[in-house]
Amino acid sequence: MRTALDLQVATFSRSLTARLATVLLTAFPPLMSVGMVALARTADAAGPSAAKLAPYRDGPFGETVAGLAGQVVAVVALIGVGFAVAWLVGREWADGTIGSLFALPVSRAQIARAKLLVIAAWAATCLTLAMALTAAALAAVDRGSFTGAVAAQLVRVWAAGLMMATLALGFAWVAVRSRGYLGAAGAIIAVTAASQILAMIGVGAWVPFIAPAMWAGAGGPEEASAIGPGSLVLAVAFAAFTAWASVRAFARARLD
Amino acid sequence: MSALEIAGAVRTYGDLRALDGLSLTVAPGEIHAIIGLNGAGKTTAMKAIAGQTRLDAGEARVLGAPVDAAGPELLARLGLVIDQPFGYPELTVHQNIVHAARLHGLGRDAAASAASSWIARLELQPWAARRARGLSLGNRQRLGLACAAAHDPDLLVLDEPTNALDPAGVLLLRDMIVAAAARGAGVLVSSHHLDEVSRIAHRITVIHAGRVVGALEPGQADLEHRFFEMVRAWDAARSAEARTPAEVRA
Repeated sequence: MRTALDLQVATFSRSLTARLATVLLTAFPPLMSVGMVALARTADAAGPSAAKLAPYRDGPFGETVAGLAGQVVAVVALIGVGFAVAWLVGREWADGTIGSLFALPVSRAQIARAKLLVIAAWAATCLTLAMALTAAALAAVDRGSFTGAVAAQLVRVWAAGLMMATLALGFAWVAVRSRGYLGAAGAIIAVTAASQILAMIGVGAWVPFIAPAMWAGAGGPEEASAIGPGSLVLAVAFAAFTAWASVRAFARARLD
Repeated sequence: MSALEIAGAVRTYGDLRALDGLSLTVAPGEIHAIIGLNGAGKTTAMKAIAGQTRLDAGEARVLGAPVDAAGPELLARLGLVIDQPFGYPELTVHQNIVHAARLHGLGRDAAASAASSWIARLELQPWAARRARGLSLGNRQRLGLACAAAHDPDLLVLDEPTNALDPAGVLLLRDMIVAAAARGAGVLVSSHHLDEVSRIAHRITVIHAGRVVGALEPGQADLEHRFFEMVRAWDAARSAEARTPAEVRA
């Protein structure tokens, strides 16, 4: 397993995909949440953007930031981690080098597990850093509003982000089945769009890709309180199942 | 025990019989070349050896075992280059060979040492610290060969390894294959370069329409002419068999 992990760390850490996704995962949440709320409260916010910023103009600064962070982190974790896993799992198929991973003493199941583990560890690190940066930025801009309740909400956002990242691992299955990362990229866009629609019609609590986001406050405090442990357990179980299915598909794939 | 044995291999893709009862063996220390036109079944046979494609009938055994049932110790004795060779564009030439050798069972230090040795052997020194994405096609081919051979396998399967190589690369490849066979490894190699094959192979088998249609003697004069003669004769015999009695009477 160590050999497979070393290879995946070596390739992923040197890839452009990893660099771009790292910036997306770590910089986007603090910039969007703290930055957007701060911008909404400046006197200069006017024109078409004023309407978009209106929801963030009122209320305690810290709570507004934490609420917005829930929306941002949920989407960024699914898309950023999704694209990273699609690339790492689908790249040998796209490059045409997948055949060189056959008939090795290090099995393809080990290689697939290593790919998912590397992505999971990287995603957890990025999301932890993102939430630390969000908390630090919030404290720097308005220390007084960084209450215990806000800190607890940020921890919840972090946990939801980890769940969304784990759900994104399932796009590896699409990458294997579609023999490359483009199919998985399409699936990420489709799932994101479908999630928006399902959330709007009110069935999000039992959709694995929506429940953690709602729990993190992406749909507001009322919808967050409607998410019980059952919805989250279902989301985590679904993520575990799709990760298992991804490893199995990679291990059993043929090049017919 | 054969280093490699394919017996009665059949593989169909819809109406196409890519392999139609193909059988061949490679003994330890033997260089067995297979030649054939595009679509003859050479690559499909090699894919079956690697477990990349399943067989509808028949069996492929490497070092005495079917590849799907082989354990890590046995798989560590294989070196395969089929279609695109191993090589990650973002890694350097040296890093690629180290990782390939480790995937084939070598420890960290042994892999690093093997990488240095094979970089020298395949004259890749100027590019050793460069990323593979910047290599020419020929040097990528050399890199792929080093990745497949750095762990000194007991069975080498090489699918058209001379394709992108320049004349210097072909000579290096020839040395590599001859040296592998000299230390006891079985080598199965497919090629369109009949002269090259004739120089190094112990045995040359002609594959056509998914089956073995004959053998050529290495070192024979006018190998190309004999090859086409063999293929045309087989096609003519096949056409005659396919004719109906009415067509024959007419």
